Amino acid sequence: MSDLLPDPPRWKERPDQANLAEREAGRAIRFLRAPEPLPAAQLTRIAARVRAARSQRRYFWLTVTAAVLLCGATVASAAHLNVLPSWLTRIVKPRPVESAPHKRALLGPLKRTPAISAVSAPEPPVTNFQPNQVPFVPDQPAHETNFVRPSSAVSVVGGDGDGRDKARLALHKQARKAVETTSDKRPDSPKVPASPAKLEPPSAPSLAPATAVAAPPAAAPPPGTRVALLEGANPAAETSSAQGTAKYLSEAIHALRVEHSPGTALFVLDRHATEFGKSTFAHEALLLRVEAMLALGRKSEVLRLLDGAALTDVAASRSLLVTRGELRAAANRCADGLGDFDLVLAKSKQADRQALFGRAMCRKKLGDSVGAQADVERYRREFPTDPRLSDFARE
Amino acid sequence: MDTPMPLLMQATLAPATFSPPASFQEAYRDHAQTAARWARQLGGSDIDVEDVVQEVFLVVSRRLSSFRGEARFSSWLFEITRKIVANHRRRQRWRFWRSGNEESLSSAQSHEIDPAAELERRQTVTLFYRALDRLPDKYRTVLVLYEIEGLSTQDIADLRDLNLSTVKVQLSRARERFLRHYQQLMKKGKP
Repeated sequence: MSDLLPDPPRWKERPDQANLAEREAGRAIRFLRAPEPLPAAQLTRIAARVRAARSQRRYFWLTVTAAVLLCGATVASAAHLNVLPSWLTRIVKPRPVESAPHKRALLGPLKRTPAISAVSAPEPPVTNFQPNQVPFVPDQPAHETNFVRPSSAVSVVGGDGDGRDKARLALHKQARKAVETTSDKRPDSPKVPASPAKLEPPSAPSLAPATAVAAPPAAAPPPGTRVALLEGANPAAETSSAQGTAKYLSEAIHALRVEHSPGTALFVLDRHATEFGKSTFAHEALLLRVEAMLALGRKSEVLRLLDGAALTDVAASRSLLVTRGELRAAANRCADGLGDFDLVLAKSKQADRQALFGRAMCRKKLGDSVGAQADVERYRREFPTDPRLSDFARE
Repeated sequence: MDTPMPLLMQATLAPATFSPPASFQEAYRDHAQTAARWARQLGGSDIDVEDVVQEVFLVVSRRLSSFRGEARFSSWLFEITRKIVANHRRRQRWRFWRSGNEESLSSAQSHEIDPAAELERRQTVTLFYRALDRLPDKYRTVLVLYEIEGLSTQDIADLRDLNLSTVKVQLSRARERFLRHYQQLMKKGKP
């Protein structure tokens, strides 16, 4: 239709036209009155309703956003994805962290959870006890016990392996005996105000008998009293750090061994690393991390981790060395793996089964037939019933 | 014939409507009456003007920040109003269809003293809106703007952001269809 055509006449302007329908329509339009403007009160009411609806809509979207975030956090937590900030995971993942150490404390320091993989279990926190310390008060929850690691104490990762194990065993026995002695003497012990008792620091890190712990009634703390050995610049901070670390590690062990959830264990260890960094139990944390990662099949990551780790203490790091040697051998780095196996086998009197097997295989791969044969002979001699002997035969 | 310019045209063609309002409050203050008027003319006397205006300005409050000024603000506001009125009418029809209360579709407000004249007026208006309701939305809009509001085709083209030719074609078809429906309704003899 051309733009030049004029607008047609409106129906309401032609009351006398012949078309009945047009005439009636024009009459109807003339009947329509001009709408009256809305009164001011009504306009105000509408504005208020618009404002209320806007705020309601905002709350609606806020609620939806919060619900989506919560669902995402729950899913991520359930899937053990370490993608959330720690403050959020603390909210959505409440876990009784003290249950595991408490149980372990009830079982006693020597009852260790059996290991299920090639990597040995981490040491429990009580391994840091010295003869002069009161290690465990039965009435006190395990997670409240102050574990103090004096600077002069024997390091967990230091010392000779076999000798250290024996010394540790003796320490545990002495500590337990001391606790029993304290418990027996409790009714007769004098009332002492419940303040942290200060003990004299140990004169030397020796394996002296632990009778000194329970012998003098004045020096012995009353039941339920926290015992703190004050040695070092800031013992309170060190104690809380050790406590926190122990909690995290026990939680990781629980996740790994009881729940069989290596992802959770890694999650906990990551949180531990974030919070404490290089802590007293860094070695134990590394052991747990390696075990969890192996359980998840992340061998290449384990190898990278262990390649960067300084495993200078052979006795403490024997299992890690064997693992690293095996992983290196599996990655066609037999020369490097051979070094690890040599270290393990040189430091121990009794041959390590995995190390010996690994060294034999590596020597065979590197063309050292004589050395490999010697290792096989030694393996047959020391482990005559081992099923791996058939592997040797096949090789 | 020298007739005064309709209020809708004044509001539509006012210079202030060519630029977007600075804030929601300003938009509401300047255009709430216009939107109410559009709502009443497009929806008939049965429409709940207050509800429509509220919904219109709720949409305006949400989308005002995204209004880029490519079209006139009045065109934008008219489109929002038209869609909301169409939704209201759809809901209204559905509600009336479910309740079977068809008589209340056009219960025009009574201002007449003479009951017979008032009855005739109401029947005529009801018949008119009934025929109008049978039109598609685009035809209904252009017919209302032209016949009831008295806008020219050029004003309608400006308001709806359409070509003048399109408006004229739509108007011609709308008038033709309306008269056909209106004649049918008149033959049936019931409003």
